[in-house]
Amino acid sequence: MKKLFFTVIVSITLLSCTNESAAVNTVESMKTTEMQKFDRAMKSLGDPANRSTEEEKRSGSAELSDRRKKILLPSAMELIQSTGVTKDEIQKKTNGDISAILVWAIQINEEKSAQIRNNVKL
Amino acid sequence: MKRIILALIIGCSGSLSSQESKLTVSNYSTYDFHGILIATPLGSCYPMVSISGPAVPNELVVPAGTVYGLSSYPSATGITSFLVQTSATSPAIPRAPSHPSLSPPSGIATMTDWRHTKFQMYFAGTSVPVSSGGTSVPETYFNGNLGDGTNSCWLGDSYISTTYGDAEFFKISSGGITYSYINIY
Repeated sequence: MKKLFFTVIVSITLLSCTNESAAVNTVESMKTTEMQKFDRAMKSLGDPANRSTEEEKRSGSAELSDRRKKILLPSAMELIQSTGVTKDEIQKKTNGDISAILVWAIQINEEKSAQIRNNVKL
Repeated sequence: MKRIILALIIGCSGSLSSQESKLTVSNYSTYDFHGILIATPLGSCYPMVSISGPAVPNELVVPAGTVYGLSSYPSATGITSFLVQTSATSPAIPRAPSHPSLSPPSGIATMTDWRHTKFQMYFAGTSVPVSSGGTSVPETYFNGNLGDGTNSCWLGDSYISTTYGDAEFFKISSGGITYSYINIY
């Protein structure tokens, strides 16, 4: 039994080392639906309609514009709610501030991703 | 098992206490990202921390369709050394990520943040830069200077549009917490 366990652990370790992209794929597939939605929303910033407008490019600020932050908002709300926090609690804690909600969601996304990566490694 | 937990705790506390923002490079394109990355204080050039030669690696490579995350200097994945320069007159020295100068309370760790990248896109898995004809001639397209626009030492737009795709540098911040992103579409 011990030997089997050892073999499994060693082969998982070897696999994860020799095939990095496979490990990445595993992490991706282990993400929750809400995390995947949030990732997709981030990627959708590159969709033609969501790209920076000429005015936004000229703003001189590297902070993502409010218009584009709103693109991330629905999936950010869902991600925070997936941890058991209600909409009302989000409103109360952030005063409805989009940036505060996004930073909260990103933190959750980072923590959950780190947990998944650690599980894959161990 | 205890040792693993201890290592995790140390790893976590290291990344929490750092002042620099977490940088995420999301390469959604079909080309590989090859770039040097530069961190400086807001509005000044030094101290400067970079992923560039002679430090190892001399550039950051983010393969097509992958995401690279860097939450603090000491926890950087795949980085053997950062190039650290404290002033215009002092030499740039490669430092291991674990070097004390790259962790708080060191001023280098608390003052600097990622603000710029100088990059080129390469055909995936090759050493051939993306150029007009797909030749190995160093290309003029997508030769990016991308930054947050706050640093006079490194001028670059925060949004680049090319025939091959777009690239942008942006931040999402609130309550003293900042996340920096380089997205390649």
